[in-house]
Amino acid sequence: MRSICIILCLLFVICFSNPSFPHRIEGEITPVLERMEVILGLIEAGDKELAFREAQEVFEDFHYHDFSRVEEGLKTIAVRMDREFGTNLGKQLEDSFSKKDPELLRKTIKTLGLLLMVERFKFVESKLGSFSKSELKDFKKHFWRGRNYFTLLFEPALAKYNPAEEVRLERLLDKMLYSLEDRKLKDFYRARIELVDRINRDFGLSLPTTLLNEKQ
Amino acid sequence: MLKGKVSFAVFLGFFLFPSLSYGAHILEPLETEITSTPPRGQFFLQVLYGFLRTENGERVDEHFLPIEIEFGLGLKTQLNLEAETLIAEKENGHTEERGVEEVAIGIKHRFLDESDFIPEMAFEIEFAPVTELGDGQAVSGTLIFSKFIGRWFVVHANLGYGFERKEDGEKEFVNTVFYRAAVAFRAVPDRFFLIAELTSEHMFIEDGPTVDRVIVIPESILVPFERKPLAVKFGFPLGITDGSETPDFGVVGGVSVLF
Repeated sequence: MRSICIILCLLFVICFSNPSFPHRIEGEITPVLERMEVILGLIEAGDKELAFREAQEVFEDFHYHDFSRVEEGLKTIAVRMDREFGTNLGKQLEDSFSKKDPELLRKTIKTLGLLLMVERFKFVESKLGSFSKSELKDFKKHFWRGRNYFTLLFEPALAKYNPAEEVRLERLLDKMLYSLEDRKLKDFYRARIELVDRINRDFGLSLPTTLLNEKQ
Repeated sequence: MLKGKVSFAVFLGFFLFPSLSYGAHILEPLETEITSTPPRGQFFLQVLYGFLRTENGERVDEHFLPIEIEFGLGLKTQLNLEAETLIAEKENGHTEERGVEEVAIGIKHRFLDESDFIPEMAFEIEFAPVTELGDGQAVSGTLIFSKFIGRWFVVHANLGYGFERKEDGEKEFVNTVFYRAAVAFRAVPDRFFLIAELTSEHMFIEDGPTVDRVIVIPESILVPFERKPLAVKFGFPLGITDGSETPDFGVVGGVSVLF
């Protein structure tokens, strides 16, 4: 009887210690994305101190297991995104640290995640008209690397607070995947614009209007 | 003792094993159809085992094994193949019948996506070349609705009509109107659901009586893995209407998986 109780308790802990969801992750998860997910989880749990400590670990470029490889830190990514999309994330990130403002840090990390996802999708879009059938597998990998940002950084909050929207966005991403498989550039582009617009609204982010009103 | 420890380790290992797939379709209640379809090119498999007891003068126990396979054709369409095996129907402890109770093929298409006030809608058409252990054939059509109510509840409803032709010595035609409804409480979002389900069938038999069959099923769905699209389901059907067509009580349990 005691062993049954222990097994049941263990099962409960395993199943519900992380009230996450059975969603699809494919391909590589970069160390910085992994940390971004942890930081958002800590902010959600109200552990401000630990969230900033975690963020500090990946603020500058860092080594992760492999000492011969340097991983981009949050600061480098923010500077790159500012250059690419005309945002002001570098300053926003530094402000969040100097003011110890977890809300600002959350918003900055979400915006960074969204822009990293857009970067991947734009790369796929740029090649969509020209790649051969044998290259499809590689482009799907790029697509999944982009989609993983949504799955890890946005989907947990949507699953918890707005499940109907979660389903809508999941289906938009499925639509993008099928457009990629069918090489329908226009459909891929339209779905990407709608996805970014919806995430921007759902999470109260302030993406530059040039990105939202982008012409193909 | 060692055997026990090994089983425990395998059991835990099974639960901790990560996977790289996903699925919302696995959250379908035991009886009520939902509007979501499997992703394109993926299969949904559901295997259940059920036991139903009916006491109406004599005691009839049914053990059955329904298996459902669905295949995602596109963003909104799926193909179905369903088979139900009657493992044994026992009257007062003696096995009377067994065999393939029903085989059905069908197609489901979601024609309306959910918006703020409008539910999702889908339509399913099914053809069953085998019913009544091989003595009948049937066709049916079902209108399916699904809607999130806030962040904690999901409601599914079905409204359908079926026509069945039986030939067991003499021909018999049965028209059936059915409805099903399920209210799911997202106790742990996307991981653990508590569901109350109601299924109702009203059969109009040619030159015969009208048979009503109403069952409520308290049930739950557990998704044990974080990244594996597998759900464990169990429910306890309770008959509401009287008569030999409605079971008094039962147990149904099984798993569904997306691959």
